[in-house]
Amino acid sequence: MFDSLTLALEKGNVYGLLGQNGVGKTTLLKIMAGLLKSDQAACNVNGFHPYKRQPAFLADIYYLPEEPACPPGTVGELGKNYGTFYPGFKMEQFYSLLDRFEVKPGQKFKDLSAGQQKKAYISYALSLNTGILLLDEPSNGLDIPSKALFRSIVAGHINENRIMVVSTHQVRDLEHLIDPVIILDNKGVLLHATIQEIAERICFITNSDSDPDALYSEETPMGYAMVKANTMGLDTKVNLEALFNAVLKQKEWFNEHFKVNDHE
Amino acid sequence: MIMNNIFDFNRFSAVTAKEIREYFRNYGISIVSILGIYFLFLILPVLVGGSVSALSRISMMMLLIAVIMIVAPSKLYGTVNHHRKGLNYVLLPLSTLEKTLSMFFITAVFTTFIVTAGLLILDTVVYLIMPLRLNEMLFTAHSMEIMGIELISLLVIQSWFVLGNMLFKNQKVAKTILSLLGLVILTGLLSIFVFNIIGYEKVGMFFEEQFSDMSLNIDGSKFRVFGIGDMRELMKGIPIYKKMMTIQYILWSVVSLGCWIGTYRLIKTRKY
Repeated sequence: MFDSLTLALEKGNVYGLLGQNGVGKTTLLKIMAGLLKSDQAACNVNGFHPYKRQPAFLADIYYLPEEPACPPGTVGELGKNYGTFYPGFKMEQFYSLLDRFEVKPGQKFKDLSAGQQKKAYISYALSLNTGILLLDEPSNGLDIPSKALFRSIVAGHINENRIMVVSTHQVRDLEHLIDPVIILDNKGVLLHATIQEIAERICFITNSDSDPDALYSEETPMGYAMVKANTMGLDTKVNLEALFNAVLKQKEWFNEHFKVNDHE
Repeated sequence: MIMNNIFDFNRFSAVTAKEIREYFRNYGISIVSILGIYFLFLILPVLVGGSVSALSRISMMMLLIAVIMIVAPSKLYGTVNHHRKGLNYVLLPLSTLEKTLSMFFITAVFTTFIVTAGLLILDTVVYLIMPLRLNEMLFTAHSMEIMGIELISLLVIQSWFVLGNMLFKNQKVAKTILSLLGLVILTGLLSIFVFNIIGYEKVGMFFEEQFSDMSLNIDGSKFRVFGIGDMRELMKGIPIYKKMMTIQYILWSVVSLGCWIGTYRLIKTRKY
């Protein structure tokens, strides 16, 4: 899948893993969770080789797939039967999150809509309190109010001992939540930078006229939304979608200016 | 806190307790149906004025136990190797040994015990109500010995189905039966090949010699063939019987152990 991918992740962050379809975001998450095979030297998570699936490793990691399977029984039973194996799991926290998402613990999984099942699983994943939480396209299937609630809940669950990696191509759903940003392509990491680093080096502006020097330009009803090198020291809000498109278009520029190796 | 990554009794007890909690939801209806079928088997001949012999009751009981034991792995652990449905199971913070042992306990020990005990209790209750129609009680040392030996052979067959459950992604029972048939055909062909090398005449003479002793044994006693167990008693008359049984038990142990080791490897290395 990857020609060469080197990545080191630090605690206390919600990493946004972005990339086009088929670049291997899910594969990378599955390798990190021990669901797919990797060489022992190639992938190390918390000092463990994930594919060995040792209990001490599994107790501190959880992977939530894009489309989790519908388990038999009720939502509450998921916590009771599976959550209790995780040392950090708190049943009250699980019920409290379900309450915020308006999902009843007594409901059977099969009677819930796909969106409600996703909410139940997000509540479960967060209440496991694992040191590493891997979320694959978590906002897919959520309605608009639930997406905002999801951002708020995830923001409230990050702490200095936890790493969250959120894979998505719905970048707008996760703006203000993910930091740092990792953008992948088939060959490896195109960009690995914090929001602050991005804002310092590039700016996001909208003008009535297009600028040939822009790294990326897109026509919108309000004019041209552009991504430019921040030579003027402007403080602009990072637009993840424009950033993503700019990185894909100007791979060499970003490689030169962001030095991916700084984060390895 | 340092975790034992190979085996921890508390984790093993916890996963076994979880699987027992989920057991009756996944398999309860099948077990009740089997008990229902057996009840009908006992009661229907009685209603038309007939009776049910001990031999036919034991045969029916073993058939039903075989069905339950063969289907158990796919009913209880059918989703374990599914790329989506198996994720919660594979991500559980347990060692592969704990997962395999709990699977063994639930499929081989718990299922066998529950269904055998259920059928025997049902049979006894019906016998106590209508002793004349069922002729004799099954809860005797002799019939327990017969059932015990048959259960051991069923456990060997079940271990093949446990492996098939991990190996195949869908239609697990059907594919495992086909693989078993394939194995039987292969063994048959191998036997023909070996007999060809030895020579059919020599093989024929050997068996004639062995069975002549057996016919003497039958003639010299008033032997009542109650079932497979009595047949085994009869077979003891064959000189090489002991050696054959030793080879059979060794083969069963090797096959069963091989299947469970294979299951362990598949749980450990399955990619999702």
